[in-house]
Amino acid sequence: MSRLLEIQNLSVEYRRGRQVIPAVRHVNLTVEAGETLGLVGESGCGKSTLALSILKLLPETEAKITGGRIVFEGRNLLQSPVETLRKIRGERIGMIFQDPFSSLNPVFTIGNQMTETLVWHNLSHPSRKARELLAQVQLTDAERILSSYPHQISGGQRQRVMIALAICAKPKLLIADEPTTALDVTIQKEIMDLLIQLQKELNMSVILVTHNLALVSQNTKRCAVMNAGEIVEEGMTGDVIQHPHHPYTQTLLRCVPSLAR
Amino acid sequence: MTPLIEASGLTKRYRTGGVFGRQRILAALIKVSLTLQEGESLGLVGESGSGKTTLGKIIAGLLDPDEGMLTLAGRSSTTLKRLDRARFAQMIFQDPATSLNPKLSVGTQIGEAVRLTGNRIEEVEVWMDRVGLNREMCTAYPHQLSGGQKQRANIARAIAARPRVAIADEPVSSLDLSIQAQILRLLSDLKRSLGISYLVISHDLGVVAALCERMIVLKDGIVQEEGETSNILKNPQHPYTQKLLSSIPRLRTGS
Repeated sequence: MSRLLEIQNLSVEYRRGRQVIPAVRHVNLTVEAGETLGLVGESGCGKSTLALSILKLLPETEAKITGGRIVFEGRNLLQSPVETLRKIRGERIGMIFQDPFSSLNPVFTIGNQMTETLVWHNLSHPSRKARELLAQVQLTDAERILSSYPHQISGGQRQRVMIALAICAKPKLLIADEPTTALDVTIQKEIMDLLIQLQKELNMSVILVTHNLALVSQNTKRCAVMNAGEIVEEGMTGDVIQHPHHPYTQTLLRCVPSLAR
Repeated sequence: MTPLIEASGLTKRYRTGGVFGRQRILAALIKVSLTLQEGESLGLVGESGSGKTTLGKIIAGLLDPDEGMLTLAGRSSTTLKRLDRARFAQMIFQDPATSLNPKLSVGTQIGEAVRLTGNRIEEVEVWMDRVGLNREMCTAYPHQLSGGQKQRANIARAIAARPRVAIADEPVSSLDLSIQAQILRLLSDLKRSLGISYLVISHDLGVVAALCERMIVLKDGIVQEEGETSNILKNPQHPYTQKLLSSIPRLRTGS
């Protein structure tokens, strides 16, 4: 396996007025080509900040990357010019977020927004390509979806549209930040199954950022547990769940609600 | 024994759209019946749009059903006054940040509930102890508390009115896992020590399993399955319940 992404000694701070909040502290993390990595932690642990810093999507006025390197396909993203980053975003690294409703523009149809993205990525025959992508994310009713506004389709369908957009340029890495948290459990399972299937089809790597340990245990081979800006444990998912070393991981595992009484 | 809650044939329809679009009538509940015995807790399980919150609100008296009968401790709900309903059932909402009044201190809000019971205001501190809040937080405002503390204050506000039933609508959904476990433990301790009944509305079967002896599975406003929680979890009969159970991600302990 070859190394796709290597985060070295990354630190990120938030500055609000005179307050300095360290959100990510000296984090090292690697993602191999074609693997699915789980990044687990509770709110405020820094997992989303870490995910956003990979694409340099953090608000520059508040967040500051104070040190480290993010090497993707041999290039340090933190020192890449904006134009290069703009090409990498979407083309080499795709991202999907928790709430598909706020990621789509409410005043344009799905077809409109898909075409815009496809044209941006210089893909030919955008409207045919849009239909192919919808089929790939298992949305059968392509005509209706394309002519709908985001509020006219269901949450699961919106997330499928977001996934279709994220994979349109066949990225090598997909960052999925709580992709199923806003969805019902039955839909959650469908979306996770779809992500794993696409990951195999496109041979891409996936970083699954989530608070849900069970989701990670079912869908990833390797995982990292974050707490207070640091990675406290990392390893094969099965090992981490069966023999957690760090006290924080142990606590987290004890809190998973069980259906057995 | 008279059941605490007896509902039969509850139906509720909502009108949607209207201003620009076509008006549509959406049936949120269709002929739902249930009973809750004293001291027992019941889970209402379903996904978004299943009607579980509508059902909870009707029982709390926040919504009127279009059809059906609701009997609370042997009396028809239509004959009960607002204050009687407030003393019968209290709500614990999902988002503690928006269900507490941001302009009133925590103590004042719990105090309002204490006054409903006619008890002395000193009882506020007793309730704060019971839910594990520091007494000094009495004068704090909701924004000064963490999410878990807010939900504790919310629970204190609900149970300080000494209701027969507390209706908890997704009581832990907006909290982190470790805080969820604490709040669930608090709710089951309170159930034991106060003998209160819960109506737990949740999409999370784990939450219902932790708090309720019996459960009802709702989908599209219709009861799909009803029975003892442990039986349904072990041996779900309805295809929808089976799908729901198989969709839940579980910790894989084997590698």
